[in-house]
Amino acid sequence: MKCKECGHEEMTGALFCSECGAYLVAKQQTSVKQTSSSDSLPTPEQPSLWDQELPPSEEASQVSFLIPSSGRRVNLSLDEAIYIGRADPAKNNYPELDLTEDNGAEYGVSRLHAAVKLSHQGVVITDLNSTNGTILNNFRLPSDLPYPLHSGDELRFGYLLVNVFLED
Amino acid sequence: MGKPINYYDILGLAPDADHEEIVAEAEKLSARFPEHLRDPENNVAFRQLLKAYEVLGSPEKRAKYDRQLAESQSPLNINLQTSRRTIGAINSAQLLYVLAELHPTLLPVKERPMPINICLVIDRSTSMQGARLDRVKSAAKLIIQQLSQKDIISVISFSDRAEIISPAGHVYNRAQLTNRIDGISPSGGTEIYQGLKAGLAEMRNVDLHRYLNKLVLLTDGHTYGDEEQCLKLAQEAIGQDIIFSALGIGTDWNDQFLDQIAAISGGQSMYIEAPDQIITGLQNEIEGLGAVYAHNTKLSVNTPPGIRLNYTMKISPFAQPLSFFQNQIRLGTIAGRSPLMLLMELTIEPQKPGSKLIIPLTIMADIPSRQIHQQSFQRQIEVSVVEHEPQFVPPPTIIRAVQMLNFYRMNERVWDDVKGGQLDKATQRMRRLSTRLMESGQPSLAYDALVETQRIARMGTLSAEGRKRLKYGTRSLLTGTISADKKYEV
Repeated sequence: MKCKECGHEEMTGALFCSECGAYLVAKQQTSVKQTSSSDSLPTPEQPSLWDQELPPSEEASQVSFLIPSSGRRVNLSLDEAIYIGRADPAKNNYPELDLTEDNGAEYGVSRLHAAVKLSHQGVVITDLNSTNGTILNNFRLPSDLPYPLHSGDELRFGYLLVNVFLED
Repeated sequence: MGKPINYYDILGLAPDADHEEIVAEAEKLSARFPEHLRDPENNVAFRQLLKAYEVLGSPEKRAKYDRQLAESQSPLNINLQTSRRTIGAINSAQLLYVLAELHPTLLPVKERPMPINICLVIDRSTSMQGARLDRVKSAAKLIIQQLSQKDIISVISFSDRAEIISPAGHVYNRAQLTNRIDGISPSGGTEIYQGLKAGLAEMRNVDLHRYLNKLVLLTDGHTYGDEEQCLKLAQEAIGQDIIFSALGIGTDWNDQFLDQIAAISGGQSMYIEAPDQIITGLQNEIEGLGAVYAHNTKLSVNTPPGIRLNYTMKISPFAQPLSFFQNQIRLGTIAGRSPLMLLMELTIEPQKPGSKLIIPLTIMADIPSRQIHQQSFQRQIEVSVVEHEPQFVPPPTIIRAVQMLNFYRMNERVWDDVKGGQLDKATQRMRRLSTRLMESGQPSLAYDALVETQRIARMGTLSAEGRKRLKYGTRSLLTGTISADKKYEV
């Protein structure tokens, strides 16, 4: 394939032009340029909204959360909704994915932060009006709206990075 | 809080149960459910039982599940991400990027599982006089304070010849050792070979298998004419699992040479621009050793014909290009907190549609806290070859890392252009690099690149300082792509 900016021929599968440094994956050509000083990353497409058409759901029955900062991996079943947050003994609230021991409080994880569940259209994540928000692949989720979740997605609860893998 | 899923637990069987046992147990359990509860829609327990039976009852699904289970319980977690899941059957070669992440399954115990055998090889040539040697001494003394009773340290100084400041041994008398380090005085030239030879001889005075072995070279100069000999020494030592790290101070040292040694040993070469950075630099080298979970980590990649591993870059906990030594890539140590991450670039020659490419990776590691010695962990990269490749957006982490790797390599190519006399090309490339760095929010590196662009255009070469700054600056961006998430403060 040819680089659109300088015409240099690159191998298929190259992500950046070796001559001029331009981003080569067509769809994101524009987004890579809208760089601000704080965020230089190519912004992935905005995830589609709930009420828009979704791709066919991925078959998944369990979800595995990987928290790189603490190295912890948690496998949970999707049979029931998975609540994400920090344990709150006062209110007897124990989320399925408890991020207390991953320094959740320091990273800005709310007690009740988000929920992941299996819907008839696939696995979805909903931010539950958390204080510091939920970011799905660099896209800040509006609260209380379900968004489709795919294997390999990156989530940030506050500033805590969590990788998600769906497994069947 | 979490409920780890284990289908064997649901059936109450051991993972080595045979097929008949599974069938019998599943039927027995299922018979316990009264008629009205046998409703997978509404009864979670029954649904789980069905699911467990569905998976374990099928030899194929069970084999896959067993593999996943083994991975989740393995002492080393290895995650592989690829830039593409499928490749098209086209007539030309293609690229595939793989991001490998290795981290402990359990956090290591607080106590250091293995003592350190460290050797500081200190350049005391005339050019080190003043702030440089002063800071090196302070850093060395600081390290001595941090060693435990079980650790071994040796200190060598060298110019045209080497002196043993302190032979390999436990630190019994810190004051005495400190005094000896204070006594190092600058004079003479730089012959790294002399220093390495004396340092390695000291390190070998202890039983290397019982220690984490690390040689740290601190130098500010080119070594004259003994590079080949140094490399030979280093290779022998690397075969004995000694890690080399080099701190290059100022601008006059040979980065390519020190990089070459670091690249095969799993250690790091570092650019120390100002004397004040020496302490932090050396401190980092030691800190990593305090929390080592796995060491003597080696990767071998068994590429099938038509597939080639072009490039391997360690991007976390520090950035360092790696290269093969005796058919293996030495990865160094894996610490408790930060994962070891590698970015690999593979070239794939044309393939038949419908085939599946499997590239097996083997990682060998010692994990002292689990009494594991050179256990091998197998993983494979899998990519399907299809007639038409569907559009696929690579994982964001891979995009970021490859972008930074591309900056690093653009800068390296500028140097190749300059050496090859292609100054127009070099100027153009450096200017483009500057623009891209600016776009990526790296104004200070972009500025350095711009200054060097002008210098190439006017004087036909780069400054030693600018070259090192850009080389190590773009390199550290790679580490930034990974650890940015951890540096946030709330």
